[in-house]
Amino acid sequence: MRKYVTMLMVVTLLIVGCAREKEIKQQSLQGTNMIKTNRDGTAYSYKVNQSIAKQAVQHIKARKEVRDAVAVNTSKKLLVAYQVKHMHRFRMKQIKKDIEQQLKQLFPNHKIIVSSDLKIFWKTNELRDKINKDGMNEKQINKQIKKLKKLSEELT
Amino acid sequence: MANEKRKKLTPVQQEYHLFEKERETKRPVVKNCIRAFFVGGLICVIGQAISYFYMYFFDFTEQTVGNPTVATMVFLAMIFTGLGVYDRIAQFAGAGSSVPVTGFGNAVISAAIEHRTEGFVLGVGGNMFKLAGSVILFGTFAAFVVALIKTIAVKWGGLG
Amino acid sequence: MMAMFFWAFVIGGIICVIGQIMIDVFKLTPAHTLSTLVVIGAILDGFGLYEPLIDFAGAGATIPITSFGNSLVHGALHEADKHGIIGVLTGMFEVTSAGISAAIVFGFIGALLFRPKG
Repeated sequence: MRKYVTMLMVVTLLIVGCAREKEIKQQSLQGTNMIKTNRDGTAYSYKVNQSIAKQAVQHIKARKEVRDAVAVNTSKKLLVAYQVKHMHRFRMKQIKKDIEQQLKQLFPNHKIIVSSDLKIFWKTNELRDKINKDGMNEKQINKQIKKLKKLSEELT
Repeated sequence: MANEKRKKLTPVQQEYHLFEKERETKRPVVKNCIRAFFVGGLICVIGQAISYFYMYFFDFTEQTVGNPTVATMVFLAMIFTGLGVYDRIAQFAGAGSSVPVTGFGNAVISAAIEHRTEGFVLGVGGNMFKLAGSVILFGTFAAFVVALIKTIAVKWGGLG
Repeated sequence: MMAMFFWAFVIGGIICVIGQIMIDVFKLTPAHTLSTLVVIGAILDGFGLYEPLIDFAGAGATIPITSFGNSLVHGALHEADKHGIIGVLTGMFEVTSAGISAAIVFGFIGALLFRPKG
């Protein structure tokens, strides 16, 4: 009887675990480079002009605390993800505020989303590569940016 | 061991205390600390590896990856406790294995396993938090006090 | 990323050494030590010092039990921000639940699976 109960629990756990795994795996990134980006960190596109993103990356990378940065933009939104040099990670909150302010001044017409999170960095990088390759349209990019914004604001 | 307690003792008892203290085996503090440092550090590195795993293959951010990592570490603690390995690690590492959450998990799980012969309700249910209960109690109460003070300070003191 | 592993190791190790010193030098029992560490974690977060440590050391700061106190305070403050003073009471387990619920669930499963030794 006890063995039966144990087996049942294990099987249930396995089923529940795997069912969820598949769903998440699809939207997760796989097979991309973990940190490497292009030298300039931006993408050219035939449909959405990425020059704003390119400028933003240049400005951010000029800061001494920032190790690497990626950006993606649409006509209204600008998503910037960056990595802070390790010794500056104690001050990450302040750095984020500074960068946000700097970008707001530079690009007053864009809604600015800033993240220092490694996961967001990977995903933004992936998105940028995709724009580079397939030339996504404005609507699709906006959707992706929205998704990343939501992910970056999650607490638990 | 508190000083107030000792004052109430008779002179003979005080003498015995001194005698006892003299004979007490010296603990190898430095050696223990080095062991605790390496084992504790190693457990944290394993935790870091697990959290990178979750971040890479699932949609967790640096901010949210803590919870699944902790849960996985507790799961590992269950396996090692059940196999009797964790006790041996604890003997070697002291605080190095009891300060990380795995130690918390070990305390709960070993109590649960130990008391299962007394039945699931009275034994497992009743004794599970025998050791870990104080951690939860003081953690929760301290958090309540700290959060209350901070909230009041921010709201009416204009701090923060 | 290697820097992250390195600092997780160092900071995590140091917190464990603090625990070991409390046991060996101040002669506290492990239960007293762990309770004290949790309280320290809560107080550190009250001053806003624990979050930067997590940014810096990752799992080196989230795996030791001190982070339990930190996340309890965090949940309480976050909830208090939204709902006022009553949030201090209701929000406490908002962020933390993982450690405790995992310990309960796996503790019970462990009791089902394993037999007591000796």
